[in-house]
Amino acid sequence: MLQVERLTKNFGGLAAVSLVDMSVRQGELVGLIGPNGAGKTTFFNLLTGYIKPSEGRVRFEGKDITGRKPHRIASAGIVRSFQQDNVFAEFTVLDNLRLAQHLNSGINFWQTVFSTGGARRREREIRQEAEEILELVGISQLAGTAAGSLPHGHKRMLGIAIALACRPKLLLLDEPLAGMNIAEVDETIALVRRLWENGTTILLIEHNMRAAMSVCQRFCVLNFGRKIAEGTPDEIKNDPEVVKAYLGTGSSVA
Amino acid sequence: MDEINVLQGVLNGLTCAGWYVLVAVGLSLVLSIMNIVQLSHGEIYMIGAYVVYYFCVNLGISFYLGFVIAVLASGLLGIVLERVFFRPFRGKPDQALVLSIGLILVFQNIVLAIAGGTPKSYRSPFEGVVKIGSLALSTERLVIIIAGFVLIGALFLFIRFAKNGQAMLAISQDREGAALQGININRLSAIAMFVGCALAGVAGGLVGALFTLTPTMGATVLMKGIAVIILGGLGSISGAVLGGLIIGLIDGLVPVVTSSYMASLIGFAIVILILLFRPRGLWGHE
Amino acid sequence: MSSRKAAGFGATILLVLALVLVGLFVKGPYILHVFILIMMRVVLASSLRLINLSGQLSLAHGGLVTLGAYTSALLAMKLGFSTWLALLVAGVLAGLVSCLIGFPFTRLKGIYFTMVSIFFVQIIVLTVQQWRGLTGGASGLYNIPRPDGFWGIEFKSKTSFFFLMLIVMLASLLIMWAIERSRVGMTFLGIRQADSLAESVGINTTGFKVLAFSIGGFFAGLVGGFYAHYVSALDPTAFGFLFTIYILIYMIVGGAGAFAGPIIGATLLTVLPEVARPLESYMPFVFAAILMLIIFLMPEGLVGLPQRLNRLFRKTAKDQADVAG
Repeated sequence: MLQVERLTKNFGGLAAVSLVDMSVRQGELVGLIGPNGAGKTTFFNLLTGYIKPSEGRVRFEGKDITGRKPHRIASAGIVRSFQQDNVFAEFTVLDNLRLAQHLNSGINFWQTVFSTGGARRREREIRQEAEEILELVGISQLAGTAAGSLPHGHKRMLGIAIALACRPKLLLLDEPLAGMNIAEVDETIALVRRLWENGTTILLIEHNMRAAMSVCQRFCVLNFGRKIAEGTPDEIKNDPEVVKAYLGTGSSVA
Repeated sequence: MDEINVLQGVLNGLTCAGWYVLVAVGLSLVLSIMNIVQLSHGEIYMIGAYVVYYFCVNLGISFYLGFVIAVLASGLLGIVLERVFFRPFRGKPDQALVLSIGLILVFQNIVLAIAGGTPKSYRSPFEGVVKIGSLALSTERLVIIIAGFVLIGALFLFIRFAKNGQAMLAISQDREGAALQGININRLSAIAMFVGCALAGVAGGLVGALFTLTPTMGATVLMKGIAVIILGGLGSISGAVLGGLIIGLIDGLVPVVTSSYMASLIGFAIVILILLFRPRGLWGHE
Repeated sequence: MSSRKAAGFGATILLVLALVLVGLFVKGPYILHVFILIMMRVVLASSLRLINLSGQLSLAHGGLVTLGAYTSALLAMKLGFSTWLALLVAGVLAGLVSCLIGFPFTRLKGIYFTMVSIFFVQIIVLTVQQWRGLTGGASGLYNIPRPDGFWGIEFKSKTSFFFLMLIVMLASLLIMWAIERSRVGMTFLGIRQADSLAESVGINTTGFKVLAFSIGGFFAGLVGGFYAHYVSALDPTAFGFLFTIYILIYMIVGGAGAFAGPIIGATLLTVLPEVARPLESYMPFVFAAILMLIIFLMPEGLVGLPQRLNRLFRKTAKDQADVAG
């Protein structure tokens, strides 16, 4: 589904991401891990078009999408969540999801400005779909709350819901668990698993190793912008390179 | 268009470059340290020129004294502006920008009320003409070129070697990181405003002698300054020098062939092209 | 909420009725002229706010007004266009030019966009001054034809212009209001709040920003065209940098966050210099002072005044109750 070949990004003289090859197959749940500053978020930014790669290719469903603008990559089916500025703060939670359905709204400029019958009907459907997504993510009770006033954990959940509202083929989650309390972590892990079981392909950056190990089938490990290992959770845990990389940072793999 | 004219155009262009760089560097400094587009920067330049006029013509004392006072006054005005108007709006760049628009009206009308609307002029003591072969350059223009490049060179050295200069560089590259390292943003903002406005005062005092003074004379200079920093790369001092040279040479050379209007138009077209293809400017990297 | 909506609707109807009555019964040309000025500035400040919905603070408006004014005047004078067609073309051309410059300009975000947008005014004004053969250069244009009459209506009296501008204003505000409460308006606001996020859900943020800029440009051009046929004379500096700043001040002082903001701002700040004649030469200073007071004390603009007073009263009432208790 997703093939990445020799993806490289240099900032000045420094290689933030260097010659990374990886692929994600339809229906997989892949974890992207590595110590702080390993280039994981830069890698996401390269995949989704926020940064143009210095070298390398990104192919999605056979099409070359390297260097396309982010909104075109989103319409191709790759949608991401963000760590910061991850919600439309002034909108209500429900409106966040209504706007996020931009791509499949199918309403054009004149229809919405003149508020035609068709547009109004479609908006009702969109509202309904938004409510379903809130249900799925488990934050229905917050539909009318302003997104900016949500506590951190709920903001993160809304961030995932926004990405889901685009009906992604491939969902990229950037540290969805960061800053969550234990109950929220469990909820979110359950959600990620549910999404995956419903058929969404997911690529997940995560710092919380235990949580990542519990959901992902396969891992790709970055360190200093290079891919140092790839494999199942067991293979990764015992990989000497990975152990060394994590020992160097003082955090443990398992 | 013969060789002499072209060389003369280059000299005029260098004069413009010195002039524009002196103004643009202040804009750029304030932009990179404080994240503020200070649109009343052109008015600081205007005030610099009027202060020199006041000492030179109204009081009849001396150009040099007027010039020194103009530069100091511009710099101090910068500190006051930072403290009173811009500091409360740190992190709110839109509001700071609108405030600086208000300041344009305030400064123009204060000067209008004090000095009146009739154009003024004064002469600098740099008389005479320097001849290089068949080329002629008035001494006062030569002074602008030299002042421009010497002062910017000094600023370079300051940034490279002085402790405050290094701290400024750190802020311009990573605001949050710098704040975490305990860099005093208030003090550096004040220094940036002082230096930037003082340089605008230098430009006003020197260039004022070449043209007539009006309360709205800052507008043109602001446009040139903006063109220069967009061209050179936002927030980069070396970029501002490069941008100043380009815009200055265009303004010096193009009128040799057509008109100064075409020079403005070409400058504008280049800025548009830069925005389309290198939005970070010639000097800025991604 | 729906009672507030009803109240807003009722107030709008009353205001429109009041304006119609003014047009029917007020005969003083001076007062009608002030009303026409107010309505023009209401449309301009509102169109500036429409651009601002997408997070862009534009200082290009004066250039677009100049462009519209000269386009409409020249089409009618030199090519013999019907004034109505000329007016429409003026709006469309200003919109198209906004679209063209919008692409490079929107490469810069936030304050950087604002900074570069200033250029446009200067370039248009310079071009009009230099292109003497076409535009009359610095001396300007005279004897621009009045709007063509139809159905026995002649556009000579102030009253006829008052009603024409009233229709232009109401139509413009209606369109801008419809855009704002539509999905398009919602998209603009989303881009303003978090443009990377908007892009990630498939919104072409550049396209929408340019769209907002172009729609704003259309209305600026339209008002410029109206001005040309109304005053019947143009000079290149009428809508320069200062004019642009004033439009911005109307919007900010009234309140950029609410639809009524620019309407209130443009109205009050057009009336102020007329009632405070003795202060005339200090007006720019007064405007700047008002602008600064608003930014320091009430950044949401005058539209926030009722709410603030309300809170203040409640607080003093509570304090008094506390003292009494």
